[in-house]
Amino acid sequence: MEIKTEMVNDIVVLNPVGNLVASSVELLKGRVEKLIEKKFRFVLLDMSRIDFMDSSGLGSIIAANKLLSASSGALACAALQEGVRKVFRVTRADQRIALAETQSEGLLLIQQRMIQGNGR
Amino acid sequence: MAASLRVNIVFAADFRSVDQARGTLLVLCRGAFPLQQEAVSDFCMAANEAMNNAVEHSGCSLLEVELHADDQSMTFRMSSDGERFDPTGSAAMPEPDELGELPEGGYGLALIQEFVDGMAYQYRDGKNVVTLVKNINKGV
Repeated sequence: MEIKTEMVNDIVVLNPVGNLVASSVELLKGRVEKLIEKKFRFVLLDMSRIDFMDSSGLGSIIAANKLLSASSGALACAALQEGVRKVFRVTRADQRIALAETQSEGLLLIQQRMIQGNGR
Repeated sequence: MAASLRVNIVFAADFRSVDQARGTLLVLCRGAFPLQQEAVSDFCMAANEAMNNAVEHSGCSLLEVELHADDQSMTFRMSSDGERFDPTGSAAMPEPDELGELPEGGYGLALIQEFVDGMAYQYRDGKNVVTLVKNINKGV
């Protein structure tokens, strides 16, 4: 997996490509830790090019969400493929992590959190 | 599918090899059941979690995986050395803690049980043998 990064209106958009699985989870968590070190607290994970995610991958998203929330930031995940969405649904992680249908909707979701002042 | 499919794969017990094995299973199952993509996806997810668990928890050095598919079902059988590890016990989906935070781990067994129709475990000749079965709904 590789992760491309771009900035959109003060929001960091991470674009991982490949599979979010046990062999690659440290990459995502490490990237979010570095962003927080650099004071970037609002992150959108565009998952449109994640073909497969296992429980370790889900765990890395939960960990990233905790890190950003603890820094008064926010995480949202956008454009999930059906198999990935099913993992969120079955584990009920979709009730705790903000999901959006598209990257545009995800950006709006994060902007609302920014206006509210923090990620909660 | 016209005929049954039977494939054996033996590989080193590490996560990268699990990735390759999962990819192989996915290609084979998609080819065998092109109209049952959700069942194939569920089956490969469960197989992936079983392989990850073996790598992470049993301390095994080698994994041997057998895939068998026929008109009725897909069967995944995995043999691994290492510590005895029975994944068939009750595995509830993890719940949020008192602060509403989800745990970062503990989903693997619950996902396996969610995504397949049958699961069995034996400890045989010093090896963990896990069998997962996914039925094929021909009406789909």
